[in-house]
Amino acid sequence: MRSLRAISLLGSLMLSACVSTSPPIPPNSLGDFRDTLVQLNQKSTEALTAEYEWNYRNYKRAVKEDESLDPRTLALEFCLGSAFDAAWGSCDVDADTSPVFMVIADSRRDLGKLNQMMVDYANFLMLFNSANSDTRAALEDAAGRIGNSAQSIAANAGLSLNEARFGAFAKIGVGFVEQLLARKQKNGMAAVLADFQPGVQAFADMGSTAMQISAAGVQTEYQTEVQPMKVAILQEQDSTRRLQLVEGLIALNEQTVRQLDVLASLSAAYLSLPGAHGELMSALQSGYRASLHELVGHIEAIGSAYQTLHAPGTD
Amino acid sequence: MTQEEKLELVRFLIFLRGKLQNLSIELLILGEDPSKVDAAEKKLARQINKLRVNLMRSWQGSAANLMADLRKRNERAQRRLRELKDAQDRAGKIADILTDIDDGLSAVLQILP
Repeated sequence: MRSLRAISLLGSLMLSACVSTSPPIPPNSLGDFRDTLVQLNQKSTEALTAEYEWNYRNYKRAVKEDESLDPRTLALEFCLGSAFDAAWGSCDVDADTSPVFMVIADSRRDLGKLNQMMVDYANFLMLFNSANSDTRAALEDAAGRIGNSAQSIAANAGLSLNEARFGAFAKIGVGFVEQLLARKQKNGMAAVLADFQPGVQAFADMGSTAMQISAAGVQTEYQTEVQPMKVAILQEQDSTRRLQLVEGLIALNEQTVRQLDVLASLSAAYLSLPGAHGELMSALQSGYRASLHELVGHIEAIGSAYQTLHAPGTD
Repeated sequence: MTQEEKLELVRFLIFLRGKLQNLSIELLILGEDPSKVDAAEKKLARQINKLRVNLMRSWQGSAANLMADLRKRNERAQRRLRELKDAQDRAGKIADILTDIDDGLSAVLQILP
């Protein structure tokens, strides 16, 4: 009886050795990674919303003062190329009159897609880490979704989705799950993660760049708003009124600096994503939970600032 | 042209816009008419917004030579700006600065699609 049990135990061990050659990543590490990506998604799209609101407010002010406004530039034109295409002002790209806030909205949507794809990827890793025959359909579904998103994000950024730049993200899809499972069985989970590392780096760079573009936008909106304030302070004769103007300018400065700080933290959070992804690989080797301290630290730094972040002057 | 180069160009133009805004205030303090500088600043602001849109939409172009040219123009304009306060021919100095700004903006316009 005892020898039968021993043979059965040996059989189980051999079977599990065939499924995976190394221990899975501690599940909490993947959960932490996914949860941090969810927060990064929320906070980065909120940052672009603040830039959107500020530009929209400055746009309305400019329209109010523009006596030569051509209403044709405000209306949509429906383009011949596609049944669903509409362009602000004109379908001719060179004559595009889209206000900046509309382009920011497009940019926010694209960034949301990128963030969601990274969340989907983290969910995929969680599922893949404990893959069995029951999870196969869900894995294929997730892989298909990630593949479509990666294709669309790269195309929107004007990049070709090649393996040199995006690693396994260039190949992931429904049919790729079989290969990934074989790779995991032969080389282990760390090898699978390493295949995705170039793509994590490339998408993280895109996220960081989006934050830098938004920072340039914030500085531009600030410049548009601050110059009339400086002139008004210079020309104001009444000391009480001048003090009010100075206080308004200081408030604008504080809001602007806070918004730039948030964007800097978000940019740093994106740039620490590849390191956090690398920590998952280390956790796999050591069996300890990945700390992800750098990524989590940047996200936490944004936390309280975000409660008060909104476009200046919208109180 | 990389995204980093594009961002560097936009940041430089934002920096220049700030200098133009301060020049306008400087002229007001000196009792001079800042309207031409204000017009150039507004023109620059429009170009910055155009570049922002292009950055968000992944535009193409070549900025390396332009950046070197703009830096040279900026150094010249800054030197003229320092001389402005004590200049005998203040109107002439302002006209020189505006010429530099116009030339710089034309160079930026050339790389826009």
